[in-house]
Parts: sequence; C-alpha cells; structure tokens
Amino acid sequence: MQQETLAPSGLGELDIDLSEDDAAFAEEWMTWLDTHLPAMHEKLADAGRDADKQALARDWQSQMAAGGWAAITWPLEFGGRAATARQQLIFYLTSAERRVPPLAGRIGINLCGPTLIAHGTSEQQQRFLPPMLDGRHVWCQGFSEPGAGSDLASLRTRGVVDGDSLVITGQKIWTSGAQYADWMFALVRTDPDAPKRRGISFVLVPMTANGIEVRPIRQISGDAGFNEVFLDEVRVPLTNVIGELNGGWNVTRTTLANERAILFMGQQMALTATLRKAITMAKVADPQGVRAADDPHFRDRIAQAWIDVELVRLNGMRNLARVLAGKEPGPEGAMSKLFGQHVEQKLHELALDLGGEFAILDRGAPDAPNRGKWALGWLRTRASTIGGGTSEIQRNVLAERILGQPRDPWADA
Amino acid sequence: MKFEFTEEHQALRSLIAGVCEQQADPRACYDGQSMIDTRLWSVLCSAGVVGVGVPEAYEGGGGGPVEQVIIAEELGRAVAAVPFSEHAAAAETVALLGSEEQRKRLLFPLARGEAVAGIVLPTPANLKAVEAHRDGARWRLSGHIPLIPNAGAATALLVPAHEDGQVRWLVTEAAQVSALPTVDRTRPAAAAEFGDADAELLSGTDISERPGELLMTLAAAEAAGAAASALQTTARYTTERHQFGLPIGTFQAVKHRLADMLVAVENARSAVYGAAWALAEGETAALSASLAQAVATGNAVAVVSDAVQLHGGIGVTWECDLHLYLRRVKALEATYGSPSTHRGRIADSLLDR
Ligand SMILES: Cc1cc2nc3c(=O)[nH]c(=O)nc-3n(C[C@H](O)[C@H](O)[C@H](O)COP(=O)(O)OP(=O)(O)OC[C@H]3O[C@@H](n4cnc5c(N)ncnc54)[C@H](O)[C@@H]3O)c2cc1C
Repeated sequence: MQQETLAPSGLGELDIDLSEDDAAFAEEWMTWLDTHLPAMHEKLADAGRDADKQALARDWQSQMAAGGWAAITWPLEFGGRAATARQQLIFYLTSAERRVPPLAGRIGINLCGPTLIAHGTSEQQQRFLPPMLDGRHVWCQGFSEPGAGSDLASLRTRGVVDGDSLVITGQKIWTSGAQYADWMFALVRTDPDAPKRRGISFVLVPMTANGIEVRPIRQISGDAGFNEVFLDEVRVPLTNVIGELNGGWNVTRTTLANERAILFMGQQMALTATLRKAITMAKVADPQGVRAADDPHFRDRIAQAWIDVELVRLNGMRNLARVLAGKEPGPEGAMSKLFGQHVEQKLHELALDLGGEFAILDRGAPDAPNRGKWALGWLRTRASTIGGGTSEIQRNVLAERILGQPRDPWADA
Repeated sequence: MKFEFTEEHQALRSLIAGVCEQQADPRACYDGQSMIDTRLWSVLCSAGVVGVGVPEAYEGGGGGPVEQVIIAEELGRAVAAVPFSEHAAAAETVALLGSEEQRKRLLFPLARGEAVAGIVLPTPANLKAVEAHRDGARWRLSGHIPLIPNAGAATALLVPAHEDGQVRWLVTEAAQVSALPTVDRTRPAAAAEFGDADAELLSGTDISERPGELLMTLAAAEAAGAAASALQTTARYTTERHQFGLPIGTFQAVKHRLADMLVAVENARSAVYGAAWALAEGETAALSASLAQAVATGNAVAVVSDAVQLHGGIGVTWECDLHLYLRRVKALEATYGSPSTHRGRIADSLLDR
C-alpha cells in the first residue's frame, strides 16, 4: 500500500480554486508570518511561568492586530478583513501548519466581538472593539453558574437597574481565563418575573470593578484554567448592556456555523499530530522490551483511531465543500462536535494505554511515556465532552433539529 | 472540488431514487425463486445506469466512481435486488485489462446489461481453487468456487487465475453457476463449477487492485444507503408512535440512540465518499476502500439493529421491511472482508512499514 497513511489535509489536498484575491491574501499572510513568527517561537520556547506565557500571548495579539490578522472575520471597519470562506480556510490551515500561537484574547474575538458587531450600538463598538482586537483587553465568558449549566437559561445572577446603572450580584463558575481577564461578557437576570429566557440581559463587566472576586478552580489535570467569579453589588453603567434590556438570550444566539465548518481543520490537525506520535511510540519497545505494535488488541485500537481521525477529516471536508459552494452547512457540521470530542477523548486514552504498565508514571519519572504528557492529555480531554455543551445536550440537538424529534417536555418553548 | 456533489450528481440521485421507489420489489426474491429484480434491472438498463462506469466509446455512461457510489447508495436505500456493484466491478476489469478488440466485443453487452456479470476476487483461496490452461486461442478453466457473492443471476463471470506466476483475468460464460439460498435474498450468492469451461484471457497483465477496491467501495455504499433509509424510517416512526401519552421520540433513551445512529450514518457516507473520490482521482485507494468497508458495513449493522429495537414488536415481524435491511447489511458486512479484517489491513499499513 503506497497511500500516505497519515495525510495532513494541506491546501493541495483540498484542490480548491483560489481567486487572485485569495492568492494575494495567502501570500501576504505567509510573508507576514515569515517576518514575525520566528522571534515569537523563540520567546515562547524560553517562557517558563504561566504569567510569562500570558504576557507573550498578549504581545503576540498586538502584533497580529497591527498586521490586520487578529480577527480576520470581522468587517474591515473594525480592523478585520471580512475574510471569505476560502481565506479563512487558508488562514486556519496555515496557522495549524506553522504553529501560530493562540491569541490571549481569542474568547473575546471569537465570541464577544461578533456579538458586539451584530447587536452593539456604534458607541459600544467604538469603545470595546479596538482594545479587544489588539489585546489590551482580554475577555472571559461569564455564562455558567453553579445552578445553571446545561440549563443555562435558569441562571440567577441578578442585575437590578438603579438609575443609569445595573447592580449585579451573584456567582459565575467555570469561567475560563477569568484570572487573566480585564473584562467579562456575562448573562444576568434582569427580570425575575418574566419567563426564563425573556428576563436575561447581556452585559459587559470590567473585572477590576468593586465587588468582583475571582477564585481559581484547580482542574482534573492539576492546572488552574477556570474560575469562580463572585459578584457582590457590582455596579456597571446601563450603557454596558448589549441589545435590549431583557433581550440578552437572543443576543447570545449570534451563530458561528460557517466559521465552525472551517475551524475543524485545526482540530483535525491536532488529532493527526497526536495519532502520529502515538503510532511512532507504539513501534518503540518499552524499557522491558515490549512493543504495543505487537499486541493484536492495540493494533485494532490503533487502526480504529486512524479511522476515527480520518472520519473527522472526511466529515469536515464534506461540510467544507458545501460551505465553499455557498450552501448551508449540512448535518455533518452539527455532528462534528459530538463525534470530534468523542474521538479526541478516545485517542488520548489510547495514547496513554499504549504505555502498558508504564502508563502509571507521571512527569518526573524517567520512564514516563511521552514524559508524562499522555497522562496529562488524557486527563485534560475528559472535559472535551462537557465544555461548550455536553455530549448529551449535543445528542438532543441532533435528534431534535436534524431528525425532527419532539423536544424534551421540560425544555422551554 | 473534492466532496462537492454537482447538480448532475443530485439529478442522478433523484433519478435512481425515483426509479427504485416505483420499480424496486425486493420481496420478489423472498416470495418466489427470483435471483434478480428483473423489472428494476431492465429499467436500470434502459436508463443507462447499469453501464454508467463504462467508457462512452463502448456505449457506457462515461461516469466514474462518484456516480457509481451515488447509484449504489440509492440502490442500498431501496434494498434493491440487482447486482449493480459486482456488475460494475466486472465491467471495470474488462475496461482496464481487455484489448481494444475485447473491450469492443465484451463491454457492449455489459454496458447494456444484456449480460449480467459476476466477479470472483483474487483472494488466495479463490486463486488456489481455479486453474486456467490454454486451449488454442481460447482458454479452459477448471475447479470449483464455493461462494461468489451476488452472482445468483450472473450469466458471465470474471475469474482470476495464476498464469505463468502472474494473476491474470479471464471471462467465461460457460461455468455452471448455481444459486445458493442466502440469508439476504436480495444479494443471492452462487457457487461455480468450471469443469473445463471455455474462457478467454484478458490481454492486460497489470495486477490491478482497482476492481476489488471499486467493489468494496460500492458494497460499502449500499450499506450506507441501507442504514440511511432505516434511520429515516425510524425517525419518522418515533414521532408517530405514542406510549405513556407521548411520541416515543420524546424519551431520551430513544432520542440519544437516534442521534448516535445519525452520526454512524453520516460517518459511513463520509467514508464511502472518501473512497469514491480517491478512486476517481486515480489515487491508490486500498486504504480508503478498507476504511469505507470497515466503517460503512459495521455502522450499518449497528444502525439497522437499533432501528429494529426502536420499532418494538413490529420491528421483528416478517411484514415490516426492516428485516430486509438487517439481512442486507449483515450480508454486506460479511462479504469482501469484515470490519475487523479491514482494520487489520489498516493496522498493517500503519505499523509494519
Ligand atoms: C473546560 C471547561 C471550560 C469551560 N469554560 C466556560 C467559560 O469560559 N464560561 C462559561 O460560562 N462556562 C464554561 N464552562 C461551563 C460549561 O459550559 C458547562 O460545564 C456545561 O454547559 C455543562 O454544565 P454543568 O457543568 O453545570 O453540567 P450539568 O448541566 O449539571 O450536567 C451534568 C450531567 O447531566 C447531563 N444533563 C444535564 N441536562 C441534561 C438534559 N436535559 N438531558 C440529558 N442530560 C442532561 C449532562 O449532560 C451531564 O452529563 C466550561 C466547562 C469546561 C469543562
């Protein structure tokens, strides 16, 4: 069999026609990367502490913003490039290929920015978008609460109108990056008497305001990635409410379906890299001379892992073909989250298992497989089927929206 | 670009779906002794579907694997009892390996569907079972093949045999083909007794894997289509059937199973399309074909089994069409290599190079 078994889906493989504009876009992006990327890679390699990495991620974002690369999907007037689907594809592919570091403020740029652009007043846009773009303001998302996870609309953090201010009291939880954030976009209940989804407002809260306390939560892996955020009579001007007061639920609905169709590329490349490494290691004998590649059960699981990663790629390509042809993303797009997160979990579990008895060794032990990184990856990916909507909720969505099944009787109308 | 279905592709899909809806009668193979859905086959022949992969110069449709996969998927959706996939793989072999004279003579009847072709794949067991000897300008085949999938209605057979240390392909219309009772009557298998049957040797000497890869891909497409249809039927049923005062699709145990079935179906289709495009672009498709087989047939068995479960008692009756689907996908899973066989091939290529 001559076929390249672990083909990266490079641009060549996609076989898409690039317009002159697209080609110029690609050229400009590559040239920009050549000038800026090597120095940043060097600095990142030397960075030790989390805080240093965070500072570098901000520095990188300001460079990207200056080059016009921080938010390519935003409209031109806000410092974006109104990138076409093909250009986004080029951008994400090369970002993954060339290991372009993530932006410090990606949550703001990807989630809050489009919402502001769609629903904000021009004053709000002028005020919040420029510092969001260049990394002066890093944002976190304050949606989930202790009592409101999957059932987000049951959230109870109160926002009481007092003159021209909103006074916010309550608690958010699982807030990723809140410990570094300057601002939080949050959902708060501004009308407790209205039906669940009609009494919610979308509001921007400075993390430096009086009455805010952030407590990091240690994750399953030992990292401190998300936080509890306590709000005690935090006062923000009413001009920080995006959209109508009590109209916040609809404001959050700004969808990113097209973008998601293209983002799969990054996911697929990460999966391929993990698989490639796992396969390489399976062929090497452990300290006792045992090779996972000689074990029939592992061989079958490795083949299945390759199949799964291929399926993530193929589903993505099908969806991409639709999007590039100007059609709505198909069911493949909605599926890819459910399937992709499952594949990611299974793959990391396999990588850990391949170590056999040595899988129990953690960082610091000389014979720990992949220097303990497999264990870390395995633990971290337990969250894949929870964050951003659990797999149970995804199954509901698929069955209801694509297969036309009735909604859960307890769900809101 | 790859994976983009054009309007012509969509039109082809609707055409086949329409023909199947009006003409397909899979039950004929269960109620009588029929080895093929004669009416459907003749409609497919006159619509030029049977020879879609044959070059236009030989009266074929000049299509390729993508068109063939669409057809096979729709035929699978209808559990159509026609040997489209095997016939297509046999014609592909002749087109690849026949001399110009042989192509002219052999491809016309195949393109028109006047001859129904079966194909014996060059597995070690099959190659051991048959011998070919020269007899003047012609050849003679001897031996016995106990199982040729979906060849119950075949009037011509493509047979591989060792000749001078090489695998060569022969065409015979003189083998004694006897249909065998099969669990899935819509793909009736046959045994072949050659007994010095007259045959001719295709002139090409390439050891082409392509007919087998095409066949595996088309069989996988049939499975994907059958699974998609079973899912569709089931998703409708679960909104209509009420228990405890609610449509049963309200219950999450049902709903979530449906969602998993959807993922399984779409994965099967993606795997099949991946193989179709690999074949269409002339890439080495061994791995893609194994991927298609490993995913589509296994997933189809899981999906159709779930479909039976979600129908309750009615799902396990003769009257309900689901058993036609269940039999079909199980047969497809067992044919041309099981999912675990194909995973084995994938593992070999990943780990033993
Ligand atoms: C790594 C990570 C980062 C996160 N970052 C953020 C962030 O930055 N900002 C933010 O706001 N949130 C964040 N979250 C929160 C995330 O959105 C929630 O964890 C998620 O929505 C699930 O809510 P929950 O944790 O309360 O679980 P629950 O909703 O309590 O779910 C518990 C279990 O019950 C199941 N369940 C619940 N409802 C149903 C139902 N109707 N049908 C079937 N099963 C059901 C769930 O599937 C799950 O298995 C993050 C989460 C993780 C893991």
